[in-house]
Amino acid sequence: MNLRLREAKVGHVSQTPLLELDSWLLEAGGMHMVLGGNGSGKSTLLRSILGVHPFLGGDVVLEVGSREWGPADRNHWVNHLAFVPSMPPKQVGLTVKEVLELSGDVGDALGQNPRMKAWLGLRLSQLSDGQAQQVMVARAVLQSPCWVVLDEPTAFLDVAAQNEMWAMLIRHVEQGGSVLMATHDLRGVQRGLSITTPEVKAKSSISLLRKRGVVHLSVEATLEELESEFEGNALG
Amino acid sequence: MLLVVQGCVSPPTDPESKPRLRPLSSPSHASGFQWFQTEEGVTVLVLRQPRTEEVLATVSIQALAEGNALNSMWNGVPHVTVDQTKGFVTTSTTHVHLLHAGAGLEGWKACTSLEYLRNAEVRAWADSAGVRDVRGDSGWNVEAVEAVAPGWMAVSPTYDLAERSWPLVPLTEYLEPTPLGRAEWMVPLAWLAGDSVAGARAFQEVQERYSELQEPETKSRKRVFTGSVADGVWHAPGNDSFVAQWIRDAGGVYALASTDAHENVELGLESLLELAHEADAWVVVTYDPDTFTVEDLVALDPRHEPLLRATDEVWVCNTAHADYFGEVVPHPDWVLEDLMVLMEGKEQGPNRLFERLRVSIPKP
Amino acid sequence: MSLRGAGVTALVLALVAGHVFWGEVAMSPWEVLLAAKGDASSELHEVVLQAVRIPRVLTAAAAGVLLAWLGLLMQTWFRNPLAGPGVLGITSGGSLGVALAVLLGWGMPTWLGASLGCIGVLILIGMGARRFASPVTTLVFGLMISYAASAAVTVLESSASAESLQTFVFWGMGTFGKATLWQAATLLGLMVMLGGWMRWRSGWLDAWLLGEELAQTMGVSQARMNREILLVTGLALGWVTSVCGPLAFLGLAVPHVYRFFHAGRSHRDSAFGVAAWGVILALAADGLVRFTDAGGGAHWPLNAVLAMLGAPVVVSVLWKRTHDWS
Repeated sequence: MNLRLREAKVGHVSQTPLLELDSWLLEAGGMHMVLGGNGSGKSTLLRSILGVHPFLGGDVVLEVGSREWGPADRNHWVNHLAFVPSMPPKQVGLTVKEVLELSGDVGDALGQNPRMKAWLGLRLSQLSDGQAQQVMVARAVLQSPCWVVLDEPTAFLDVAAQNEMWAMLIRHVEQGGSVLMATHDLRGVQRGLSITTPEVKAKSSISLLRKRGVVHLSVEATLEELESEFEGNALG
Repeated sequence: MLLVVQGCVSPPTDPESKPRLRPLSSPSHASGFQWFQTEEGVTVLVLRQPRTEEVLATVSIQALAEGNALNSMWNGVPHVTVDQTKGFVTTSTTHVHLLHAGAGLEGWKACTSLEYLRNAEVRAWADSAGVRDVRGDSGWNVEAVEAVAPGWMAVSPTYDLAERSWPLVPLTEYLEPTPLGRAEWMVPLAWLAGDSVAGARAFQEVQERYSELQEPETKSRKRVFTGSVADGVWHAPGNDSFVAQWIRDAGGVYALASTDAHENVELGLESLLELAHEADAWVVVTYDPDTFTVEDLVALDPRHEPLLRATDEVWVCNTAHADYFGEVVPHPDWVLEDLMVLMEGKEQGPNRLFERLRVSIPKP
Repeated sequence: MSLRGAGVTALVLALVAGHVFWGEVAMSPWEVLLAAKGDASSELHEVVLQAVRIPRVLTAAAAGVLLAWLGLLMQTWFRNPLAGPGVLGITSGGSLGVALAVLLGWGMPTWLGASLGCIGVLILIGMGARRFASPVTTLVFGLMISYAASAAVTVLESSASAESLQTFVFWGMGTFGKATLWQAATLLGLMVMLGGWMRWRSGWLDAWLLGEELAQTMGVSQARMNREILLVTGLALGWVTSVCGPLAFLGLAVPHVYRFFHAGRSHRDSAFGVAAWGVILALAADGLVRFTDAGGGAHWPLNAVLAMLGAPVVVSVLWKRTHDWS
């Protein structure tokens, strides 16, 4: 179930587009990292793919077998594309169990992350940011065994929580899922990809959004290489 | 009684000769006004709140001398010296009709309720005499009143009597506890308008007719109540009101007699239902340009529906067809006559002021 | 059912019984039951029970449930603890409708004027909702409608006669006592409709709590949700306002009272508890109103009592140090 962007133009209505892309294939089964500075259009790109923000031009399709599901079939996408926003929801009185049950069976989620068993009766608002993000990722995985789309998921987390997050995502791709993540956490990207299996790595990608386009980097890139590309982007 | 003399009048040389007021004959029924005469022979009309007897204002046609006795008796009460040559302004259709019944409308220059007048004769008079409307957005149209420059203005005590030193005369006929007392106000109004003899004669006729009609003791003993539901409770005139007196004079029993109040009485709706259940008739005063039916009564307020189930009959006074607040006021005998007819069980009295409504609410 | 749930249910039943068995006309419990069956010895008892007490308690209970559920709905939709049913401007529209009917002397019954006013505002908001993407802009639009309606009402008030002004002011005080039995029945019907809809959409409403965009990625159609919420709110609130007048605070306060006493936060779990507390607050307020009406002396209009009971709740929400209303 690959994601394919077709001549997509990303941005806000009546402003110059943030991104003008050619065809871009995101292969299922991989971890796809989208890097970029503030204002580069990462979030808007993700939200356009998810369907909560309109493309200025072009579109995105989900390739299912020999068929393509375009934007008109959005109601089919629900089971194949799930979202994790950068900040976990605030002041939500629903319990962890209730949140998970919105998207699937709690038992499955506990199988993925047994630590959550202790939290089931707690309200989402009673968890720390790191714990709540774990719940949101678990929920997304329940909703979609396929694509999980994350927008800077580690932005508000401490190191331990970040590690937990990466561990959950890697488990997901190893079980056949796919990840699309917008981030500027270069260290996390490099480390995360470095501990995936070769099969997963083969299907993964690192893309840098710059100058209204995208540059594809090697998944084997070291942290220094990533940083220099990134700095170059900032200065260039 | 020590008198405090104000102004720059030299104190009387003789301590015995204090300026005094001599009371003249009292009104036979009203308690809101009283006549006095000063030592100089000036007639003074004293206007009071009928229940509390608080003095609201004093009026004279001739100017009073300095150091007059009024200052001593009612310090702080405004005094109006009326100039009868300059005409007058009215603010109430009741006053217009009280004048019309007595002295007549000569001198009537302006009013604030021209559109509420319904009597054809009065309207024709107003048109031909060029009576103008002086109502403004905050009560008075000040410029218009100044242009009219009246000699006196008939208002109620709710008006600000100090407004711009205008000759405002507060009349309290609506607070009188008896119907004849209310009608008797045609006498002081006629005096103000310049023909007190006509006023006295007109009232004498009304008084005689009323006494002839009146039942000496309660004959039919029909229990009657009235009032309206406004904000969730029932408001009705108290036992000491002219409405209650009418019912008693017509031979009935005022159903709210257990309350001693003369002001409005308030009842919870269930208590009202209990009372209505034991009463015989409900008097409704309403306005409807067409015929007023039972459906209209329920449409006025849905809480009338249970009341209609508890009540035996309804007597309606439709003010669209009967000028209850205007023309009827100087003729309380008309109401008395019609009420008595209804109490005997007939359909309508000779003055056609009330009609009996058929009440048949089907049980749900 | 939990102990707490049983307690709340018992309180509801006690209040309903209190309103049926107590009143200014003294009736023994046995007489009340006879009158309810239609076998009363005195016709007065039948009239009092069937035409006064029963319609009133049913209206109060149904209105309490409807407003409480609508308050919960508004707080979910706007993700704001201070939202209440009046936030869309529908009650202001009802006021304007009544003002036109009464102050201009059109001679329309107040409930009809209110209905037309509410429908008018609903149409406006519906048209606006197509253009406005998010609940927040709908909210601001609703506020502006409220202000505009209030201004129009002031203009009408300034040139109205004393009696019509009084009628309008009394309507604004709100009451459960003017509803007929069939109006109470329609309110109960609306209650069933709203409850059914909320149960059907409880998954969507729960997802909405997590965030607007996130909910959409979970399959919630924002356009459809907008339309359905406006429709049910317009119908339910419009009819409650038409029958009882504009009622303050109930919708806003009851969900908070519920949250104070109960743990369930999903819409499925909280529906019954919120409804029960809606009935409790409405009947408690009406109890005070009926009590002061019976006693003579100053009597308190319904909105004043609701404000007295509801305002402390709102203040306590604002007062909490942690801005956590979950």
